[in-house]
Amino acid sequence: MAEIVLEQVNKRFADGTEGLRPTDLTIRDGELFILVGPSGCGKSTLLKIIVGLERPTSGEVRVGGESVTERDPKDRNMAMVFQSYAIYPHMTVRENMAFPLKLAGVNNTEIAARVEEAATILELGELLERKPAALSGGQRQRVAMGRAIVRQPAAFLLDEPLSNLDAKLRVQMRTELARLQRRLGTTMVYVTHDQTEAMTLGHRIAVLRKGEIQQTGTPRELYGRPANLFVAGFVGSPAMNLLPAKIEENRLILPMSEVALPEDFSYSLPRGKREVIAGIRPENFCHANRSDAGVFKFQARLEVVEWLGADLFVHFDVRANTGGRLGALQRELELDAGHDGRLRVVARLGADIRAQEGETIDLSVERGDVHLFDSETGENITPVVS
Amino acid sequence: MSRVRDHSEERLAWLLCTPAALAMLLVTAYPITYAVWLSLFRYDLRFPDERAFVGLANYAGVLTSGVWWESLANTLIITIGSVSIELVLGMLLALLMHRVLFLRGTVRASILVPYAIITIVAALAWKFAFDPVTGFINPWLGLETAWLTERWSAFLVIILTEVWKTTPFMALLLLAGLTLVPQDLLDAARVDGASARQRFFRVTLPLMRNAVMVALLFRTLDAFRIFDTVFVQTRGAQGTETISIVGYHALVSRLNLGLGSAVSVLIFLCVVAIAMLFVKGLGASFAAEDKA
Repeated sequence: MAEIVLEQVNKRFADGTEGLRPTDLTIRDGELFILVGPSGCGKSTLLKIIVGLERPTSGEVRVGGESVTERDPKDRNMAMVFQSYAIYPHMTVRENMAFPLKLAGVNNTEIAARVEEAATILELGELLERKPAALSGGQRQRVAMGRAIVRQPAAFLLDEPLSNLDAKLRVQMRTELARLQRRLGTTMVYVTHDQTEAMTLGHRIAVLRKGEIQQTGTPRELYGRPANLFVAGFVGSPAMNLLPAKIEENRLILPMSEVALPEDFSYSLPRGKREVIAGIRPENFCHANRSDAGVFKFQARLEVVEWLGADLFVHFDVRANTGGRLGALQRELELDAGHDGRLRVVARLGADIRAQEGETIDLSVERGDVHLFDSETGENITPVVS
Repeated sequence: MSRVRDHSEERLAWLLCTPAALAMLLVTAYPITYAVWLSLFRYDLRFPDERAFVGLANYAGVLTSGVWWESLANTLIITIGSVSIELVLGMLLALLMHRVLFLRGTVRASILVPYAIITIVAALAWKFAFDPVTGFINPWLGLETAWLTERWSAFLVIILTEVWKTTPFMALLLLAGLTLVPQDLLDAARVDGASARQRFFRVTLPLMRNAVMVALLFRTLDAFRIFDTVFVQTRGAQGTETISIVGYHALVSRLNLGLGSAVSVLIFLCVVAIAMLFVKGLGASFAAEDKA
């Protein structure tokens, strides 16, 4: 059991690139903590620093109050699961799981007992005498987990453990992992590039981008109030629609509609600045022609309609400037940035609505559901409703 | 349907292989068959009139002579001595080449230099180095030994020459095996608590098994047929005669084609035996991997 604390940890590689900017982070005891971000954001580097496979250029790593910065991985009592599983191909499943215990000098009876116990938890009993080459991807993944849990470590570190599995198995293993973590109650640090995995698994999440933590919080916090444009675009599926907007004479003007802002509406923008970026989650659109105050209403011509049984996704275009900072961010997040002055917008509606491609429908959005971001810094400037 | 295609594909495969197979037959099968044929005759170029079919008499002659067995022992001493030292040194060099962070190309190229030198030249260079009058080894060691005039010191010089010349080759083959060990596995072993030594012996080495076997196979076959180094340094004197030199003397010095061919065929059979032994070992480990 251990709390992991990183204090001003940074990593500069030999070629001068900064893999991780100075970072402070506390991972609480028993927590399932997620490091999420696009590839190359430094999440794996951060994990390797925690386990000791990489040495930080400066800063300190503490586990359970003790500094482990100078310690070799073998002296940190942490277990790691690799994306490639990294199970030893020349050993049987049993030997793989027994390996760390043998190295630690645990006696044979104890080793046998612990391996059996882990095999029971992970349903590997039948496979103990097999070699890894004879196992399926999911089974290998279990062996890697098994090798980690037999050690009864202070913390588990998982580096994209599910990304080599097919979609169905991934969802299944995700649930099993969450259950396993609850059962063992051990601190778990989990690296992924998949925001769905992060949102469903994590007690708390840190979103990384270019070697820097953008926001740390619970899934609800990240979803409800993303700290900046990057987090806003990264968290949620389908991603939040980001649109250029303007604030003029106490009115918020979106490309497709405008609405009056309340008298006491306050936001922190430099004086005289009016350009903002508005973010609307697909699930915040409504199919209704409402005329209440504080509701954006507009008509949209549907380009694509996707009916998924439980949901209906409708895609429509709005006229807007697609270049600049917003375009760059959307490309970074691999979102459909639109083109020729038209932005792609997606709305999630009730599955009972019958809409056809080419049809024009009424849509509305509550003012309170619109997130506002500084168009320069990308910071969230939406007033906090108290 | 697929069976029909299999047949035509198979025929095409054979057809495509034919030119290469023919060339191989011409340059290897013919000489070997001819050597086997010659070995069944009494055939001495000094007495060409006495040529006659003698069956296996030449083999009996070779296998009952002390010279054959002694030279076979010498060959084994040189083979085992040089290959085992090469394996250890080659592994160390391979680890070095694998780890080196800067000037990687230069380091690898410079390690390969000895292998690029012609064996005869290397043999002569080492002979001169150990020469009691002109060599630099004796002054360095403060000795006055005539290295190549005694059996065991001559073996030492021969083995050292072999080791110096072919360790780079061994190192290169082992390096290829070393690069195939995934970094993730070594990282995993580190996290699992393995020291550098344990990582090498418990993860790296078992995973390099096939590369080691291939390197050993090549080098053992090479070393077993050793001729030039011994020929240049001792001419087989001081009891350092190898089986290749015995064959050479019978064929070229004494012009006894029958006996010489019998020696050659025996050497060939030994080489085949060694190769089969290794291939069987390799096959077993491949099969184990397949099954696994």
